[in-house]
Amino acid sequence: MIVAERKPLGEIAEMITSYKKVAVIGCRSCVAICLAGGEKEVKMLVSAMKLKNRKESRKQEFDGFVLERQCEKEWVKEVEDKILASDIILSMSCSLGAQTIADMYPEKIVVPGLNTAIFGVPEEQGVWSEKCLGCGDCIIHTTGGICPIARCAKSMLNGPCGGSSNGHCEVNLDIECAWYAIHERLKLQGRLDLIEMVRPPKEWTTSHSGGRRVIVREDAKLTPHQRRGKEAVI
Amino acid sequence: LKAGSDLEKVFEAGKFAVTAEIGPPQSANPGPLVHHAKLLKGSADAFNLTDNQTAVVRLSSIASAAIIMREGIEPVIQMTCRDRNRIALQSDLLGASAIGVKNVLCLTGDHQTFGNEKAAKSVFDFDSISELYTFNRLRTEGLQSGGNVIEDDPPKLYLGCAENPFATPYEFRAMRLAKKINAGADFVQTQAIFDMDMFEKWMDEVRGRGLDKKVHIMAGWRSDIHEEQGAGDDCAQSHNRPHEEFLRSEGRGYQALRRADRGVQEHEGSSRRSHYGC
Repeated sequence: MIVAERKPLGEIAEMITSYKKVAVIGCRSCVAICLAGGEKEVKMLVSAMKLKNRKESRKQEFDGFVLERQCEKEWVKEVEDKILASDIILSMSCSLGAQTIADMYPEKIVVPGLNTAIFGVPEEQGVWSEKCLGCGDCIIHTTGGICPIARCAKSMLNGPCGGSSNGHCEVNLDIECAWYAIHERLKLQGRLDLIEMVRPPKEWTTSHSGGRRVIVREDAKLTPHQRRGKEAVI
Repeated sequence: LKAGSDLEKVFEAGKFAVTAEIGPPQSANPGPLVHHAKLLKGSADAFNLTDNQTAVVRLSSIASAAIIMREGIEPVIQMTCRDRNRIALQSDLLGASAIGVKNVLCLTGDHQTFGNEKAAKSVFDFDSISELYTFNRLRTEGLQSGGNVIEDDPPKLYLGCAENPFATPYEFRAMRLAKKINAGADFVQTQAIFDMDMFEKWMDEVRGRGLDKKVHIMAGWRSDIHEEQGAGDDCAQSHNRPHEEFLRSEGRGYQALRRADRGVQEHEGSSRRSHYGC
Protein backbone atom coordinates (compact mmCIF):
# COMPACT_ATOMS: atom_id res chain seq x y z
CA MET A 1 0.00 0.00 0.00
CA ILE A 2 0.91 3.66 -0.17
CA VAL A 3 2.43 4.85 3.07
CA ALA A 4 2.41 8.52 4.02
CA GLU A 5 3.34 10.63 7.03
CA ARG A 6 1.64 13.73 8.30
CA LYS A 7 3.51 16.98 7.82
CA PRO A 8 4.49 18.88 10.99
CA LEU A 9 1.66 21.04 12.36
CA GLY A 10 3.62 24.24 11.87
CA GLU A 11 4.13 23.55 8.17
CA ILE A 12 0.43 22.77 7.70
CA ALA A 13 -0.60 25.92 9.60
CA GLU A 14 1.66 28.04 7.42
CA MET A 15 0.11 26.72 4.19
CA ILE A 16 -3.46 27.52 5.27
CA THR A 17 -2.97 30.55 7.52
CA SER A 18 -4.52 33.21 5.27
CA TYR A 19 -7.67 31.25 4.40
CA LYS A 20 -10.86 31.35 6.41
CA LYS A 21 -12.81 28.20 5.53
CA VAL A 22 -10.65 25.11 5.47
CA ALA A 23 -11.94 21.76 4.25
CA VAL A 24 -9.81 19.00 5.80
CA ILE A 25 -10.36 15.88 3.73
CA GLY A 26 -9.08 12.46 4.76
CA CYS A 27 -9.22 9.09 3.03
CA ARG A 28 -10.29 5.67 4.32
CA SER A 29 -7.82 3.83 2.09
CA CYS A 30 -4.06 3.33 2.48
CA VAL A 31 -3.46 6.49 4.55
CA ALA A 32 -6.07 5.41 7.11
CA ILE A 33 -4.39 2.02 7.49
CA CYS A 34 -0.97 3.63 7.93
CA LEU A 35 -2.46 5.99 10.56
CA ALA A 36 -1.73 9.21 8.70
CA GLY A 37 -4.93 10.52 7.12
CA GLY A 38 -7.96 8.48 8.23
CA GLU A 39 -10.97 9.62 10.23
CA LYS A 40 -9.11 9.72 13.54
CA GLU A 41 -6.16 11.66 12.13
CA VAL A 42 -8.47 14.22 10.46
CA LYS A 43 -10.25 14.82 13.78
CA MET A 44 -6.94 15.10 15.62
CA LEU A 45 -5.57 17.59 13.13
CA VAL A 46 -8.71 19.74 13.24
CA SER A 47 -8.56 19.78 17.07
CA ALA A 48 -4.88 20.64 17.05
CA MET A 49 -5.42 23.46 14.56
CA LYS A 50 -8.31 24.87 16.59
CA LEU A 51 -6.19 24.83 19.75
CA LYS A 52 -3.31 26.49 17.95
CA ASN A 53 -5.60 29.17 16.50
CA ARG A 54 -7.18 29.87 19.90
CA LYS A 55 -3.74 30.29 21.42
CA GLU A 56 -2.67 32.61 18.62
CA SER A 57 -6.04 34.44 18.40
CA ARG A 58 -6.59 33.44 14.79
CA LYS A 59 -10.06 32.76 13.40
CA GLN A 60 -10.54 29.91 10.93
CA GLU A 61 -13.37 27.48 10.24
CA PHE A 62 -12.57 23.83 9.77
CA ASP A 63 -14.77 21.23 8.12
CA GLY A 64 -13.16 17.84 8.56
CA PHE A 65 -14.48 14.74 6.78
CA VAL A 66 -13.27 11.54 5.15
CA LEU A 67 -13.80 10.00 1.72
CA GLU A 68 -13.85 6.32 0.91
CA ARG A 69 -11.10 6.79 -1.69
CA GLN A 70 -9.88 10.28 -2.42
CA CYS A 71 -8.11 9.20 -5.63
CA GLU A 72 -11.42 8.26 -7.29
CA LYS A 73 -13.54 10.97 -8.85
CA GLU A 74 -16.85 9.33 -7.94
CA TRP A 75 -16.13 9.62 -4.22
CA VAL A 76 -14.85 13.18 -4.51
CA LYS A 77 -17.95 14.20 -6.48
CA GLU A 78 -20.13 13.23 -3.51
CA VAL A 79 -18.65 16.06 -1.40
CA GLU A 80 -18.57 18.67 -4.15
CA ASP A 81 -20.76 21.10 -2.16
CA LYS A 82 -18.33 21.11 0.75
CA ILE A 83 -15.35 21.54 -1.57
CA LEU A 84 -16.97 24.48 -3.35
CA ALA A 85 -17.95 26.09 -0.05
CA SER A 86 -14.36 26.10 1.23
CA ASP A 87 -11.59 28.66 0.68
CA ILE A 88 -8.85 26.06 0.73
CA ILE A 89 -8.62 22.27 0.78
CA LEU A 90 -6.19 20.55 3.09
CA SER A 91 -5.90 17.04 1.77
CA MET A 92 -5.08 14.40 4.34
CA SER A 93 -4.79 11.79 1.61
CA CYS A 94 -1.74 10.67 -0.30
CA SER A 95 -0.67 12.98 -3.11
CA LEU A 96 -2.91 11.01 -5.50
CA GLY A 97 -6.04 12.02 -3.60
CA ALA A 98 -4.89 15.61 -3.29
CA GLN A 99 -4.17 15.79 -7.02
CA THR A 100 -7.51 14.22 -7.90
CA ILE A 101 -9.32 17.07 -6.13
CA ALA A 102 -6.92 19.66 -7.57
CA ASP A 103 -7.53 18.39 -11.12
CA MET A 104 -11.31 18.20 -10.66
CA TYR A 105 -11.59 21.73 -9.21
CA PRO A 106 -8.82 23.70 -10.87
CA GLU A 107 -9.97 26.99 -9.34
CA LYS A 108 -9.54 25.58 -5.82
CA ILE A 109 -6.29 25.69 -3.87
CA VAL A 110 -5.34 22.23 -2.60
CA VAL A 111 -2.50 21.80 -0.11
CA PRO A 112 -0.97 18.53 1.10
CA GLY A 113 -1.28 17.62 4.76
CA LEU A 114 0.78 14.48 4.25
CA ASN A 115 4.11 13.58 2.73
CA THR A 116 3.53 10.58 0.48
CA ALA A 117 6.50 8.32 1.00
CA ILE A 118 6.59 4.71 -0.07
CA PHE A 119 5.00 1.62 -1.55
CA GLY A 120 5.35 -0.21 1.71
CA VAL A 121 4.42 -3.22 3.74
CA PRO A 122 3.26 -3.08 7.38
CA GLU A 123 5.92 -5.17 9.10
CA GLU A 124 4.44 -4.77 12.59
CA GLN A 125 2.23 -2.20 14.34
CA GLY A 126 3.78 1.18 13.56
CA VAL A 127 6.46 -0.07 11.15
CA TRP A 128 6.22 0.15 7.34
CA SER A 129 9.04 -0.75 4.98
CA GLU A 130 9.61 0.10 1.35
CA LYS A 131 9.55 -2.93 -0.96
CA CYS A 132 8.70 -1.67 -4.43
CA LEU A 133 9.65 1.34 -6.55
CA GLY A 134 7.15 0.65 -9.32
CA CYS A 135 9.85 0.19 -11.98
CA GLY A 136 7.32 -1.48 -14.29
CA ASP A 137 9.37 -4.61 -14.95
CA CYS A 138 9.21 -7.02 -12.02
CA ILE A 139 12.12 -9.44 -11.62
CA ILE A 140 11.59 -10.84 -8.13
CA HIS A 141 11.14 -14.36 -9.50
CA THR A 142 14.89 -14.26 -10.16
CA THR A 143 15.86 -12.78 -6.79
CA GLY A 144 14.14 -15.04 -4.30
CA GLY A 145 11.05 -12.86 -4.01
CA ILE A 146 13.09 -9.87 -2.79
CA CYS A 147 13.18 -6.67 -4.85
CA PRO A 148 16.75 -5.32 -5.15
CA ILE A 149 15.56 -2.17 -6.91
CA ALA A 150 13.61 -1.02 -3.85
CA ARG A 151 15.41 -2.82 -1.05
CA CYS A 152 19.03 -2.12 -2.05
CA ALA A 153 20.08 1.50 -1.41
CA LYS A 154 21.93 1.44 -4.75
CA SER A 155 19.25 -0.55 -6.65
CA MET A 156 21.99 -2.97 -7.66
CA LEU A 157 21.30 -5.87 -9.98
CA ASN A 158 24.62 -7.54 -9.22
CA GLY A 159 24.93 -7.14 -5.48
CA PRO A 160 25.87 -7.20 -2.74
CA CYS A 161 28.29 -4.29 -2.81
CA GLY A 162 31.39 -4.19 -0.65
CA GLY A 163 29.49 -2.33 2.05
CA SER A 164 27.37 -5.30 3.14
CA SER A 165 28.28 -5.70 6.78
CA ASN A 166 27.07 -8.73 8.77
CA GLY A 167 24.02 -8.81 6.55
CA HIS A 168 23.24 -5.11 7.02
CA CYS A 169 23.30 -2.16 4.64
CA GLU A 170 26.19 0.30 4.84
CA VAL A 171 23.75 3.20 4.49
CA ASN A 172 21.76 2.22 7.57
CA LEU A 173 22.94 -0.60 9.79
CA ASP A 174 19.37 -1.09 11.10
CA ILE A 175 18.30 -2.21 7.64
CA GLU A 176 19.08 -5.59 6.13
CA CYS A 177 21.29 -5.80 3.04
CA ALA A 178 18.85 -6.81 0.30
CA TRP A 179 21.51 -8.78 -1.57
CA TYR A 180 22.59 -10.62 1.56
CA ALA A 181 18.93 -11.56 2.01
CA ILE A 182 18.65 -12.60 -1.65
CA HIS A 183 21.76 -14.78 -1.33
CA GLU A 184 20.43 -16.47 1.82
CA ARG A 185 16.97 -17.02 0.29
CA LEU A 186 18.33 -18.51 -2.93
CA LYS A 187 20.77 -20.67 -1.00
CA LEU A 188 17.84 -22.03 1.00
CA GLN A 189 16.01 -22.78 -2.24
CA GLY A 190 19.08 -24.29 -3.91
CA ARG A 191 18.89 -21.68 -6.67
CA LEU A 192 22.15 -19.72 -6.27
CA ASP A 193 22.73 -20.15 -10.01
CA LEU A 194 20.24 -17.31 -10.47
CA ILE A 195 22.71 -14.76 -9.10
CA GLU A 196 25.87 -16.25 -10.54
CA MET A 197 25.32 -14.85 -14.00
CA VAL A 198 26.10 -11.25 -14.94
CA ARG A 199 22.94 -9.18 -15.14
CA PRO A 200 23.27 -6.62 -17.93
CA PRO A 201 22.12 -3.01 -17.42
CA LYS A 202 18.44 -2.67 -16.59
CA GLU A 203 16.04 -1.19 -19.12
CA TRP A 204 14.57 1.71 -17.19
CA THR A 205 12.16 2.58 -20.01
CA THR A 206 9.23 1.03 -18.14
CA SER A 207 9.97 3.16 -15.06
CA HIS A 208 9.44 6.88 -14.52
CA SER A 209 12.73 7.37 -16.41
CA GLY A 210 10.83 6.57 -19.60
CA GLY A 211 8.54 9.53 -18.98
CA ARG A 212 5.30 9.84 -17.05
CA ARG A 213 3.36 6.63 -17.26
CA VAL A 214 -0.33 6.29 -18.07
CA ILE A 215 -1.72 2.78 -18.22
CA VAL A 216 -4.56 2.27 -20.68
CA ARG A 217 -6.60 -0.92 -20.69
CA GLU A 218 -8.77 -0.78 -23.78
CA ASP A 219 -10.71 -3.87 -22.67
CA ALA A 220 -11.64 -2.21 -19.38
CA LYS A 221 -12.69 1.16 -20.79
CA LEU A 222 -16.37 2.00 -20.95
CA THR A 223 -18.09 2.16 -24.31
CA PRO A 224 -19.70 5.55 -25.11
CA HIS A 225 -23.06 3.90 -24.40
CA GLN A 226 -21.95 2.60 -21.00
CA ARG A 227 -20.42 5.98 -20.15
CA ARG A 228 -23.69 7.78 -20.89
CA GLY A 229 -25.52 5.32 -18.66
CA LYS A 230 -23.08 5.86 -15.81
CA GLU A 231 -23.29 9.64 -16.05
CA ALA A 232 -27.07 9.42 -15.92
CA VAL A 233 -26.89 7.45 -12.65
CA ILE A 234 -24.53 10.02 -11.03
CA LEU B 1 47.80 -6.03 -25.25
CA LYS B 2 44.36 -4.60 -24.71
CA ALA B 3 45.35 -1.02 -23.97
CA GLY B 4 49.13 -0.99 -23.71
CA SER B 5 49.25 0.77 -20.34
CA ASP B 6 52.32 0.42 -18.13
CA LEU B 7 50.20 -1.43 -15.60
CA GLU B 8 49.08 -3.95 -18.23
CA LYS B 9 52.66 -4.37 -19.47
CA VAL B 10 53.95 -5.10 -15.96
CA PHE B 11 51.26 -7.71 -15.44
CA GLU B 12 51.71 -9.25 -18.84
CA ALA B 13 55.46 -9.54 -18.18
CA GLY B 14 54.49 -11.63 -15.14
CA LYS B 15 55.88 -9.05 -12.77
CA PHE B 16 54.67 -7.68 -9.49
CA ALA B 17 52.74 -4.42 -9.90
CA VAL B 18 52.20 -1.60 -7.44
CA THR B 19 49.63 1.17 -7.59
CA ALA B 20 49.13 4.03 -5.16
CA GLU B 21 46.12 6.21 -4.67
CA ILE B 22 46.00 9.97 -5.09
CA GLY B 23 42.90 11.73 -3.75
CA PRO B 24 42.14 14.84 -5.82
CA PRO B 25 41.72 18.08 -3.82
CA GLN B 26 38.37 19.64 -2.91
CA SER B 27 39.23 22.68 -4.99
CA ALA B 28 40.26 23.73 -8.48
CA ASN B 29 43.91 23.92 -7.41
CA PRO B 30 45.99 21.39 -9.35
CA GLY B 31 48.92 22.04 -6.98
CA PRO B 32 48.47 19.06 -4.65
CA LEU B 33 48.13 16.72 -7.64
CA VAL B 34 51.32 18.03 -9.23
CA HIS B 35 53.09 17.85 -5.87
CA HIS B 36 52.10 14.22 -5.35
CA ALA B 37 52.85 13.27 -8.93
CA LYS B 38 56.40 14.62 -8.53
CA LEU B 39 56.81 12.99 -5.13
CA LEU B 40 55.49 9.61 -6.21
CA LYS B 41 56.96 9.40 -9.70
CA GLY B 42 58.80 6.13 -10.16
CA SER B 43 57.53 4.62 -6.92
CA ALA B 44 54.56 2.75 -8.42
CA ASP B 45 53.45 1.54 -11.83
CA ALA B 46 50.22 3.53 -11.89
CA PHE B 47 48.23 5.84 -9.66
CA ASN B 48 44.57 5.55 -8.78
CA LEU B 49 42.61 8.78 -8.94
CA THR B 50 39.52 8.57 -6.81
CA ASP B 51 36.12 9.62 -8.11
CA ASN B 52 34.53 11.90 -5.51
CA GLN B 53 35.59 9.41 -2.91
CA THR B 54 33.12 8.82 -0.04
CA ALA B 55 30.71 11.03 -2.00
CA VAL B 56 32.63 14.21 -1.20
CA VAL B 57 32.86 16.72 -4.07
CA ARG B 58 36.39 16.86 -5.42
CA LEU B 59 38.26 17.76 -8.58
CA SER B 60 37.19 15.16 -11.13
CA SER B 61 39.23 12.00 -11.56
CA ILE B 62 39.52 12.46 -15.33
CA ALA B 63 40.77 16.06 -15.04
CA SER B 64 43.16 14.84 -12.34
CA ALA B 65 44.39 12.16 -14.73
CA ALA B 66 45.16 14.81 -17.35
CA ILE B 67 47.14 16.80 -14.75
CA ILE B 68 49.25 13.89 -13.47
CA MET B 69 49.91 12.58 -16.98
CA ARG B 70 51.62 15.90 -17.71
CA GLU B 71 54.01 14.98 -14.90
CA GLY B 72 54.77 11.71 -16.64
CA ILE B 73 52.94 9.28 -14.41
CA GLU B 74 50.21 6.87 -15.37
CA PRO B 75 46.67 7.15 -14.01
CA VAL B 76 44.03 4.58 -13.12
CA ILE B 77 40.82 6.55 -13.17
CA GLN B 78 38.09 5.39 -10.83
CA MET B 79 34.57 5.67 -12.22
CA THR B 80 31.63 5.17 -9.89
CA CYS B 81 28.00 4.64 -10.87
CA ARG B 82 26.71 6.90 -8.11
CA ASP B 83 26.70 10.22 -9.95
CA ARG B 84 26.37 9.45 -13.64
CA ASN B 85 23.88 7.55 -15.75
CA ARG B 86 24.94 5.38 -18.70
CA ILE B 87 25.02 8.37 -21.08
CA ALA B 88 27.48 10.29 -18.89
CA LEU B 89 29.55 7.22 -17.97
CA GLN B 90 30.10 6.24 -21.59
CA SER B 91 30.70 9.84 -22.64
CA ASP B 92 33.28 10.38 -19.89
CA LEU B 93 34.92 7.08 -20.76
CA LEU B 94 35.31 8.12 -24.40
CA GLY B 95 36.64 11.50 -23.25
CA ALA B 96 39.12 9.93 -20.86
CA SER B 97 40.32 7.57 -23.56
CA ALA B 98 40.72 10.48 -25.97
CA ILE B 99 43.12 12.27 -23.60
CA GLY B 100 45.18 9.11 -23.17
CA VAL B 101 43.73 7.40 -20.10
CA LYS B 102 43.96 3.62 -20.39
CA ASN B 103 43.34 2.15 -16.95
CA VAL B 104 39.79 2.38 -15.62
CA LEU B 105 38.56 1.05 -12.30
CA CYS B 106 34.82 0.31 -12.32
CA LEU B 107 33.07 0.86 -9.02
CA THR B 108 29.48 1.05 -7.83
CA GLY B 109 30.48 3.84 -5.46
CA ASP B 110 29.89 4.84 -1.86
CA HIS B 111 26.33 5.98 -1.23
CA GLN B 112 25.87 9.76 -1.15
CA THR B 113 24.63 9.69 2.44
CA PHE B 114 28.30 9.31 3.47
CA GLY B 115 29.43 12.52 1.83
CA ASN B 116 28.91 16.26 1.86
CA GLU B 117 26.01 16.33 -0.61
CA LYS B 118 23.45 14.21 1.20
CA ALA B 119 20.58 15.92 -0.64
CA ALA B 120 21.81 14.61 -4.01
CA LYS B 121 19.56 12.54 -6.25
CA SER B 122 20.77 8.98 -6.41
CA VAL B 123 21.71 7.70 -9.88
CA PHE B 124 23.00 4.10 -9.81
CA ASP B 125 21.76 3.46 -13.34
CA PHE B 126 24.52 0.81 -13.45
CA ASP B 127 26.28 -1.15 -10.77
CA SER B 128 29.99 -1.97 -11.03
CA ILE B 129 29.29 -5.21 -12.89
CA SER B 130 26.93 -3.75 -15.50
CA GLU B 131 29.46 -0.92 -15.87
CA LEU B 132 32.24 -3.43 -16.57
CA TYR B 133 29.93 -5.31 -18.93
CA THR B 134 29.18 -2.13 -20.87
CA PHE B 135 32.77 -0.83 -20.97
CA ASN B 136 34.00 -4.25 -22.06
CA ARG B 137 31.55 -4.36 -24.97
CA LEU B 138 32.54 -0.81 -25.85
CA ARG B 139 36.23 -1.75 -26.11
CA THR B 140 35.82 -5.12 -27.77
CA GLU B 141 32.90 -4.50 -30.14
CA GLY B 142 32.65 -0.71 -30.15
CA LEU B 143 29.12 -1.27 -28.94
CA GLN B 144 27.39 1.28 -26.75
CA SER B 145 24.83 0.09 -24.21
CA GLY B 146 21.94 1.44 -26.27
CA GLY B 147 23.03 -0.64 -29.28
CA ASN B 148 24.88 1.99 -31.32
CA VAL B 149 28.18 0.87 -32.79
CA ILE B 150 30.83 3.58 -32.76
CA GLU B 151 32.22 4.30 -36.19
CA ASP B 152 35.82 4.96 -35.20
CA ASP B 153 38.17 2.57 -33.47
CA PRO B 154 36.85 1.44 -30.07
CA PRO B 155 38.62 2.93 -27.02
CA LYS B 156 41.63 0.96 -25.81
CA LEU B 157 41.00 0.22 -22.16
CA TYR B 158 42.47 -1.83 -19.34
CA LEU B 159 39.57 -2.54 -17.02
CA GLY B 160 39.75 -3.07 -13.29
CA CYS B 161 37.36 -3.63 -10.46
CA ALA B 162 37.37 -3.75 -6.68
CA GLU B 163 36.33 -6.57 -4.42
CA ASN B 164 35.94 -6.68 -0.67
CA PRO B 165 36.80 -10.14 0.72
CA PHE B 166 35.53 -8.99 4.12
CA ALA B 167 31.96 -8.05 3.20
CA THR B 168 29.02 -10.38 3.73
CA PRO B 169 28.03 -12.93 2.56
CA TYR B 170 31.68 -14.11 2.62
CA GLU B 171 30.95 -17.28 0.66
CA PHE B 172 29.66 -15.21 -2.28
CA ARG B 173 32.71 -12.93 -2.55
CA ALA B 174 34.85 -15.13 -4.78
CA MET B 175 31.77 -15.82 -6.92
CA ARG B 176 31.20 -12.09 -7.24
CA LEU B 177 34.79 -11.67 -8.43
CA ALA B 178 34.05 -14.37 -11.03
CA LYS B 179 31.09 -12.30 -12.21
CA LYS B 180 33.36 -9.29 -12.59
CA ILE B 181 35.84 -11.33 -14.60
CA ASN B 182 33.03 -12.59 -16.82
CA ALA B 183 31.89 -9.00 -17.25
CA GLY B 184 35.36 -7.98 -18.44
CA ALA B 185 37.69 -7.19 -15.52
CA ASP B 186 41.42 -7.52 -16.23
CA PHE B 187 42.59 -6.69 -12.72
CA VAL B 188 41.10 -6.41 -9.26
CA GLN B 189 42.11 -4.22 -6.34
CA THR B 190 40.86 -5.48 -2.99
CA GLN B 191 39.84 -3.44 0.02
CA ALA B 192 42.64 -2.85 2.51
CA ILE B 193 43.53 -6.09 4.24
CA PHE B 194 43.58 -6.18 8.01
CA ASP B 195 42.83 -9.84 8.46
CA MET B 196 45.30 -12.11 6.68
CA ASP B 197 43.43 -15.27 7.70
CA MET B 198 40.25 -14.12 6.02
CA PHE B 199 42.17 -12.90 3.02
CA GLU B 200 43.80 -16.32 2.73
CA LYS B 201 40.41 -17.98 2.95
CA TRP B 202 39.11 -15.77 0.15
CA MET B 203 42.24 -16.45 -1.91
CA ASP B 204 41.73 -20.20 -1.42
CA GLU B 205 38.26 -19.87 -2.93
CA VAL B 206 39.59 -17.65 -5.69
CA ARG B 207 42.28 -20.25 -6.53
CA GLY B 208 39.75 -23.07 -6.16
CA ARG B 209 37.68 -21.50 -8.93
CA GLY B 210 40.79 -20.83 -11.01
CA LEU B 211 40.14 -17.09 -10.93
CA ASP B 212 43.75 -16.21 -10.13
CA LYS B 213 44.59 -17.45 -13.63
CA LYS B 214 42.04 -15.15 -15.22
CA VAL B 215 42.57 -11.85 -13.42
CA HIS B 216 45.47 -9.95 -11.88
CA ILE B 217 44.83 -9.65 -8.16
CA MET B 218 46.14 -6.65 -6.23
CA ALA B 219 45.88 -6.69 -2.45
CA GLY B 220 44.94 -3.46 -0.74
CA TRP B 221 46.97 -1.69 1.90
CA ARG B 222 46.12 1.38 3.95
CA SER B 223 49.21 2.77 5.57
CA ASP B 224 47.49 5.25 7.86
CA ILE B 225 45.05 2.80 9.42
CA HIS B 226 47.59 0.03 9.64
CA GLU B 227 49.88 2.31 11.60
CA GLU B 228 47.16 3.74 13.83
CA GLN B 229 45.87 0.29 14.71
CA GLY B 230 49.34 -1.12 14.98
CA ALA B 231 50.24 1.48 17.60
CA GLY B 232 47.27 1.02 19.87
CA ASP B 233 45.82 -2.38 19.24
CA ASP B 234 47.83 -5.55 19.83
CA CYS B 235 45.28 -7.68 18.07
CA ALA B 236 45.30 -5.53 14.94
CA GLN B 237 49.08 -5.47 15.07
CA SER B 238 49.32 -9.24 15.12
CA HIS B 239 46.94 -9.43 12.19
CA ASN B 240 48.87 -6.79 10.26
CA ARG B 241 52.33 -8.15 10.89
CA PRO B 242 52.37 -10.98 8.35
CA HIS B 243 50.94 -8.59 5.78
CA GLU B 244 53.54 -5.94 6.51
CA GLU B 245 56.37 -8.48 6.52
CA PHE B 246 55.25 -9.77 3.16
CA LEU B 247 55.11 -6.26 1.80
CA ARG B 248 58.53 -5.37 3.22
CA SER B 249 59.99 -8.37 1.48
CA GLU B 250 58.71 -6.87 -1.76
CA GLY B 251 61.00 -3.89 -1.26
CA ARG B 252 59.71 -1.77 -4.09
CA GLY B 253 56.08 -1.73 -2.96
CA TYR B 254 57.08 -0.86 0.56
CA GLN B 255 59.18 1.99 -0.71
CA ALA B 256 56.15 3.31 -2.61
CA LEU B 257 54.09 3.21 0.54
CA ARG B 258 56.69 5.09 2.57
CA ARG B 259 56.89 7.79 -0.07
CA ALA B 260 53.12 7.97 -0.23
CA ASP B 261 53.02 8.42 3.54
CA ARG B 262 55.38 11.35 3.36
CA GLY B 263 53.07 12.88 0.77
CA VAL B 264 50.13 12.58 3.13
CA GLN B 265 52.02 14.37 5.87
CA GLU B 266 52.68 17.34 3.64
CA HIS B 267 49.32 17.59 1.95
CA GLU B 268 46.10 16.48 3.50
CA GLY B 269 43.78 14.31 1.42
CA SER B 270 46.17 12.39 -0.72
CA SER B 271 47.67 8.93 -1.06
CA ARG B 272 46.77 6.65 1.78
CA ARG B 273 45.88 3.51 -0.05
CA SER B 274 48.03 1.34 -2.23
CA HIS B 275 47.60 -1.92 -4.00
CA TYR B 276 50.09 -4.52 -5.01
CA GLY B 277 49.82 -7.81 -6.80
CA CYS B 278 50.63 -9.86 -9.82
